[in-house]
Amino acid sequence: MAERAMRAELLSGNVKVICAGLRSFLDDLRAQGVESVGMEFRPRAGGDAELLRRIERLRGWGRG
Amino acid sequence: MTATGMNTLGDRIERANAEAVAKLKAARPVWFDVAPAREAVPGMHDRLILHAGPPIAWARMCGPVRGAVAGALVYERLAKTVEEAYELAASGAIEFSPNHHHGGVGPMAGVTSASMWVFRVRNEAHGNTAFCNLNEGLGRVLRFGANDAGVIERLRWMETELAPALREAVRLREGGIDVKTLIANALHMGDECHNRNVAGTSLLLRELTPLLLSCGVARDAVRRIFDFISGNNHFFLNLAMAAAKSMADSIMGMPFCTIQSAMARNGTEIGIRVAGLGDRWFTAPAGNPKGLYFPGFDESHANPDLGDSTITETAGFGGFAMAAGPAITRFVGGRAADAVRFTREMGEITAGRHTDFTIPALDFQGVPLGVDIRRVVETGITPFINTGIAHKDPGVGQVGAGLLRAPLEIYRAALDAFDADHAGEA
Repeated sequence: MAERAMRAELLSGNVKVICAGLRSFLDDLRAQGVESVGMEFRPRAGGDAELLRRIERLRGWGRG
Repeated sequence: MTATGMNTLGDRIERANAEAVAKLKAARPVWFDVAPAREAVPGMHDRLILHAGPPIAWARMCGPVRGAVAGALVYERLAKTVEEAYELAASGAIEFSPNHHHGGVGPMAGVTSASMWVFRVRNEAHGNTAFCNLNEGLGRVLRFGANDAGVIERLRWMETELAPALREAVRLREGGIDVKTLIANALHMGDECHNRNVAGTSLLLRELTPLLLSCGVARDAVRRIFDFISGNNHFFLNLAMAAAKSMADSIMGMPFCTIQSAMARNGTEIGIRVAGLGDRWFTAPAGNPKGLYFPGFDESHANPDLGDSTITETAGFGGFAMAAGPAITRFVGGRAADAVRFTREMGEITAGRHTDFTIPALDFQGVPLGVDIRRVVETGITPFINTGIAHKDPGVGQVGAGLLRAPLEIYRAALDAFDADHAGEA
């Protein structure tokens, strides 16, 4: 219950949104006058799990 | 080594990449000579024409490369007219080969023939040398596919007066002219040393002036040379490209290294090489730049992306240093803020940062250095390219300049090859 109240309180004020993902989400919010910033986000390796597994094999201890 | 003392494939790659970044940083390109290609270029002969990009046969060459080849054949007196030159080129009597296969580079069409003189640069840190032809200026020039009488006449003047004088001048300087320092300084003066070379050209002319005045070249010839260089803001580009090639070649063939050692375009295809994959090319169709066009031209006139000049980005300057040269956006399009964004984004796909090539506007942060194919494939971020734009038809020349990105598929193909080469290794 407390969590629900907190959520309601969060959305009752002046909402500012960081939008990761589809550009249309950001566009819709802005169209409604919601202060929003877009974050460029792409899933690693284009979301290809097999490709990501192969990249992980080529990755060492460092930042690579 | 991992925490458990293992020596995995990934660990070996990390060590190789760290060593490659250190070599690229330590490279010290010095301009030591100018010489005719037939003397300076390994394997050069009178019926060999070198071109930009990965290998390509005459039948698949784009308009501006064909135009430049035809111009070179007239210049070499192997054909009397441009029309005769096209026939000769198509006959099979002329050999074609990439500059990169002979230790050199060339901007745009990159056409280099036996009588053309080339800058010679030695990487004093690692002992290897590289070459690049001399810059002719903008507009109607051979490297953009123009081949009229004025183009040929300029090439002959460069052969008979400009280049021999430059040789006399540079040979007067004991130890040669340090190109790395010129690039580092130019980056602090608003150049990125690929499509903006105003500062680099001025700094070079400052080095050359006392040498040209001391080397015994006639005063009226020196005046013509000053006028030519100071009237061509891109004169420094070709020297910077030879320097970049000498730097990038120092990592070629390093086992386990996943860092790009070359990127080049022939106007039909773009290709990359990767240090740990030797001399193999990974290619895809060349892209189309978005840019600014000269009056009377638009995208419908543009040839796809062309030239070896992306060796600058490979070596840690050029487009990756765009934050150092925001004025470049007046030439290639975009906004000054984009230039900073481009540089920052390239930091996501490189293995390190340069320590000698730095960007004042980013609090002297180093230019992103060493494109790692693993990072490109993982992030989906591909290198920015800023470039001149040639008319798609032979014989016309430059029509603008613009921006584009390298295609992801060449990095994916390189990663597949690397993976296959190391199949079964833990």
